[in-house]
Amino acid sequence: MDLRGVRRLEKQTLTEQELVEGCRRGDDVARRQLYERYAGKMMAICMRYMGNREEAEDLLHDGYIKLYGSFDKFDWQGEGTLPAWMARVMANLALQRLRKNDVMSQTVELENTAELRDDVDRPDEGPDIETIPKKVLMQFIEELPPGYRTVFNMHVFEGKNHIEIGKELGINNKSSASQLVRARAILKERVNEWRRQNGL
Amino acid sequence: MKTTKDMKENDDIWLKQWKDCLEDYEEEVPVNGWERLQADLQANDNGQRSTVNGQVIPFRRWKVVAAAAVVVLVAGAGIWFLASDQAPQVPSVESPLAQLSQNDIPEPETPLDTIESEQEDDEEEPIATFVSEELSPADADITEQPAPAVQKSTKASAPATHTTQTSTTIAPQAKVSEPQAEETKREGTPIQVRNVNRNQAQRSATPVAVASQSNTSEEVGVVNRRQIRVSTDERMQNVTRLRGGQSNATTRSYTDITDMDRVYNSFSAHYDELYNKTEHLFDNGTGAYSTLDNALFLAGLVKKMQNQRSASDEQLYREIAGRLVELQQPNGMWKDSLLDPSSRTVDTDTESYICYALAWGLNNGLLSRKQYRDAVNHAWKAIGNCNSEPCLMAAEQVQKLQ
Repeated sequence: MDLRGVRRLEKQTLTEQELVEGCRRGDDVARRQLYERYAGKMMAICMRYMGNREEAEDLLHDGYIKLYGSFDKFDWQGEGTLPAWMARVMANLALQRLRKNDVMSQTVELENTAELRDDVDRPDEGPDIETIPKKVLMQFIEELPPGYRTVFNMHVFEGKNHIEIGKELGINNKSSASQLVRARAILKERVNEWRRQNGL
Repeated sequence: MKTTKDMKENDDIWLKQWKDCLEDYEEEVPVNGWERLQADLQANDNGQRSTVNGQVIPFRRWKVVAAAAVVVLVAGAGIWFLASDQAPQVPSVESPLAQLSQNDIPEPETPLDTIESEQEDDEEEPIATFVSEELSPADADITEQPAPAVQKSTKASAPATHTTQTSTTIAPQAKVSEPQAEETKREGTPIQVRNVNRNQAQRSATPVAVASQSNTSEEVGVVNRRQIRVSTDERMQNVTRLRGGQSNATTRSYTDITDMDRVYNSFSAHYDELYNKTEHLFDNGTGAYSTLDNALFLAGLVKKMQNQRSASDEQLYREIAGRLVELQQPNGMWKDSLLDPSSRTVDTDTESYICYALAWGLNNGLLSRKQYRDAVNHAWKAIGNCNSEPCLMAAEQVQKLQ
């Protein structure tokens, strides 16, 4: 952002409602503020779903274009509803894209089921993650296999149950559940590994 | 002793921690993200009108004028025929236009001017559209001429930054607007170029191009951006060339397994120039060691060895395979450009080709199990779920390992 842009933003920081109204009108200042204010958060969502920066950036761009064009469909109902709506639009677009790439079709028998059994046999509460840098946690998610990652995101961050996930992704709900278990197992392993390496 | 329910709850709490930790996390945003958006938004807001500038216009304007003149002449001829008593005497086969131009008729002069200026003011008049569509092949010819020069210059600046290249790989219709891209590139942001490109290509495109565009119109923006960004990879131009120009690899991961043969054949043909005997890798002609190209080559080599093996093939295979394993990242993947740790992580297909080639080597006694098995397993794990052809090839070999 150039200096002039910064000054302009400082001069008039729009409220959430003003942002909504401005974007609905197609006002450039409002659109810009919508971007500057939420792009970081939206980018995090994109990274979580897509798993790599390139596709995440594409998604962010297209997601914003979609957002700007959808304000007539959005009904602002108080502080916080704007970013929540934006996050939903982004996530849905991400899922649309992942479905298109056929991310969920998989050959289960090819997977290594040993570690999964391991995890079920020896469940624990899971290592503490609060002391781990968020960037590292993000990276763990990004490096999950795409199918696990998708289910993990939908379940953990969007609070969907396996029936809903199965329906949306066109997979069996059992498959959704088992992918979540696997995702969890991998994440645990990685967290433990990280903690060991960092002397925690 | 914990019950199953307790365990499940514990796990759910653990997952909830992830949400709590990361819900408000902000990721670094793309460079010039807003500027790119703004450019696209402006293009959307203004519709096609926003793209009316630059070099194509003189041609179009000229054509509009010509078309207007034709219309006026025809109309004038009509009027003249209606008004003239002599009309019946003119032989109907001969062109009335020819006659007309030789006759001094005052009326057409004035309307001609009027229509001309109207057309210039508003490009969107139906008649203008009609004319531009009809004359577009000529349009394409004219604007296409400078293309070779452009290609040369982009090649020269190959190692430059990502977005500066708009290359042969974009799409058929984009070729038309290449000169434009080169022109605007120096002044504006690359992304603006893209928008201008896209729309102008659309406008001045031949009917064929228009048809192909409409197939993908839903995601035109997405596809074009991805293609352009990917085509910026310096390797692509050369790979396309080396693969015989028919490559469909304008996008990263969407290889065709016949690419294995193509890359294998062209790299073998240029072995001396392209194979770096100290790095034990192929350089696709750009000085960069593209992972995809080396992966494709190795997989192609494997395919060839399945029919016929020679000691030199095996030697080459071992060299490249060994080097690739050395360059495998801790997460089991490879970087897009083998010797550039800052490059992106490869896509699943690339990973699959490598995995396939390595696993085959293990299965066929070319690589030591002790030394390479972990690398293959690691790579295979990193691929995760997939159903692409390269991945299935890899799966088949990996299964045999067990």
